[in-house]
Amino acid sequence: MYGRSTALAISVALLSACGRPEEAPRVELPVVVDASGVTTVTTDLGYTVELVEARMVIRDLVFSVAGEVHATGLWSTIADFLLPTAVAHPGHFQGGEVTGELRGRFLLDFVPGNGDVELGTATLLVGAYESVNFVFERAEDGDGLDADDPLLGHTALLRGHASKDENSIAFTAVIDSPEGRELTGAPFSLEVTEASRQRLGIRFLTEDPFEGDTVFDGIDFGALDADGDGELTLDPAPTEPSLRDAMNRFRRTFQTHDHFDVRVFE
Amino acid sequence: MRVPFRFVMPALLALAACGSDGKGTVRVTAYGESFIEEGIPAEEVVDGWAVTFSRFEVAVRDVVVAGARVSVPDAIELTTPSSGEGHELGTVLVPAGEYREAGFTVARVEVEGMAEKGDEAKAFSWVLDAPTHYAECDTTTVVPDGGTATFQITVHADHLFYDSLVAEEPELRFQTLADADTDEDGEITEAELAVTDIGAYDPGSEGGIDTLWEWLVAQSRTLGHVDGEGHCRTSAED
Repeated sequence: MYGRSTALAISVALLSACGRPEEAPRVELPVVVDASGVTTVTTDLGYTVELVEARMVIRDLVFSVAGEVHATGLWSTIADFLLPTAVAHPGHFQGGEVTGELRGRFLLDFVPGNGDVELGTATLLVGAYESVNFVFERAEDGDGLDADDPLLGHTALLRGHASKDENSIAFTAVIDSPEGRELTGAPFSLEVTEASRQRLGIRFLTEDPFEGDTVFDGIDFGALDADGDGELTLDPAPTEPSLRDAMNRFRRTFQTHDHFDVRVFE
Repeated sequence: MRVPFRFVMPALLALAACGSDGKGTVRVTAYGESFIEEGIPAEEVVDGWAVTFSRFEVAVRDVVVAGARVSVPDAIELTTPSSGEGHELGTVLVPAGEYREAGFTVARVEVEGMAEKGDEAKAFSWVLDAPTHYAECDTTTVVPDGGTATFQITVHADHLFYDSLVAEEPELRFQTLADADTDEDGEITEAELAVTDIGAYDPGSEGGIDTLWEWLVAQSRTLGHVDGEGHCRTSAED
């Protein structure tokens, strides 16, 4: 997990040793899990949804600045090698260059009131940051989970209640993202300077703050609870067509950059 | 007579400079590879459908190579066999040298064809009207003095059947499209695709693509390449 970071540090050190003026200043900022984005929401179908559990496994947070990196010479060559160009996604950010990173696998536990768990320290070159990317993973033994944890082998586990009229349905949704599936373009707005000392909080947002849609939109919990027992399980690959359609839609929404961001703690 | 080296060197440099002042021709072609000319065999498609195209017309415009705009026809039909050469769109005379930063626009793609699997057959006829500009293409065109270089716009038809817009190695599938033929008349229409959810297909982090018609339009923006596998930076023109 330290390979690229170490390479970056060594490269910067080598440049420094050569007395090159192009070395870009950088800072190290702590990254924490921030549960403030997990709020009770009302979906487009009128369900009030509250989560009591929201856990997922990701790896390799990388941070992008707007526009191009204006490094030159040898630094530019090394930066190009170490820090690949981000993919532009109109609507959230207009392209940019990856100039910050926190590598490794991370278990994100977005339980409200659980405190801000620190994931590590990100290294960022100074610049005007616009977005963050990461890769969805599948939980493994080494992620610190119990042997019988239902998240094992999966990307995310969400558990909660969906209420409408007088009915309440307890639901569990288990999501499997495709191998290597990257989430790109989640908002992260910060002018990083050499004096920056902020903490960065990665959030899962049950409601898109820009458009107001929720991660549960389109899911008719009542209709999916065919036996009417008030409990619903959305498996990663259900065989029943209506459940399969619901899971496809839910996974698609979950994997958009509308439902993640990085909050800056001043 | 031995000529002193101090006289030879300037002469050689002068000759080299003359060479760089020469001109050469860039020949622009469009090629659909075997997938368009012969079809996509069933073994390439994970759910066993084989796809053939009876028409694959691509409207290309705004072709700029070696800093020169190339006049091209309004559209080119790519199903016609070309023995691996592609179809010439136009030529332009430019100073000899190495060039990058080529670009072009694919204004529209019209495809007609048939997909078959066992006893099943599904016809399709789609007009994918999504003008897309391809720029900063990842290739170098080397134009020799007095010679000809080829710049090929390569069209990857298989992208239409990818199951992801973001995966490094997406699979080719057709069953999802075949299932969209809800009236079971044997033709998959735009109207049917426009009301069919993309299911397990992955549109990526931006989302916003929910129907199979939107999916095909989005994939049509990825068809253009250069000189085989070279990629370009793409932007929508509509």
